[in-house]
Amino acid sequence: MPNARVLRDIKARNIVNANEILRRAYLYVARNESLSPQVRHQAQLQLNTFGKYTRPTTVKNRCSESGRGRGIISEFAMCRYQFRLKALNREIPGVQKASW
Amino acid sequence: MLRRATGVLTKWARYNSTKPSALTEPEFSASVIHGRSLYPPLQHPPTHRVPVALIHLRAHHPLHLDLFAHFAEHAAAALAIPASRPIHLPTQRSLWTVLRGPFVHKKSQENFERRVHKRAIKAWDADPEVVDRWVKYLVRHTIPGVGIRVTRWQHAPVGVGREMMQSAVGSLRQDTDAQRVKALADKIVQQELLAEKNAASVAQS
Repeated sequence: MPNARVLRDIKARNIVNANEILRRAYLYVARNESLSPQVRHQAQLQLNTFGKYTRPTTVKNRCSESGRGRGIISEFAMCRYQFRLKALNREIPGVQKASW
Repeated sequence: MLRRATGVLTKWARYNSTKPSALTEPEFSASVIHGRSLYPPLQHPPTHRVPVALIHLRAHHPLHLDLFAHFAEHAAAALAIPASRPIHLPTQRSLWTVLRGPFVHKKSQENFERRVHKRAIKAWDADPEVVDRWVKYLVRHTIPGVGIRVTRWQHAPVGVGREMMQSAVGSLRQDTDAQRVKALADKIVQQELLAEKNAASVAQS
């Protein structure tokens, strides 16, 4: 069972994905200088009604094994300690202890 | 040029030697290189140097990679495809330095790396069907751990660009993200303008 924070992040990713087009449309209207200020203001008010999980800033890379939010290596979706444990067990293809 | 020629000569000394075939024992054992055949690999010289295919191989370790590149080269020679010897492309090396412990202790870290070794084989002049067979043969006998990418070039009839453009225009997708955003934004603007007009008319009346 993944971490609670990981589940929250998955939920955020799904909701952001679902609302991205709509949000970008409203943003386009709100930021468009050639439209009237009333229309822009209405668009901005609509944007304010969107929930927090519609914002892409709520999406955060987390460790797929431990759920840690810091020290994530994006290529493996794992935190540095889990990456090290797996790499030493040769569970990550191609990764080996560096020596030069 | 001269250096390269002498390198080839020492490699195939036994094959190229003008001495009679009876070599003395020390000479023979000095010329034996374990894993190498008596003769240089068969290579068909390209007739027009028109590129037909490029086989790009990648692996994390060069052992199976070199074996497969050798196999591909000899398969091409067997099918009479003018092909190059395996070309060694620069190795990519990614390095990750991570803390050894799960918490603090910044001073003790460990380095991990991942090397990607690359080889390429170029093929020229052969018939597309022959190249097709060669590629299918290679794909059928892949070694686990070696990735293959095949780039092929073929002759196309005159006017192929125009035909492709017409078929693409006929099936243009209207649903890329940017277009959807634009369409939605226009709809929103119209809705807002309508709402504004209604509000204005209500205020007037």
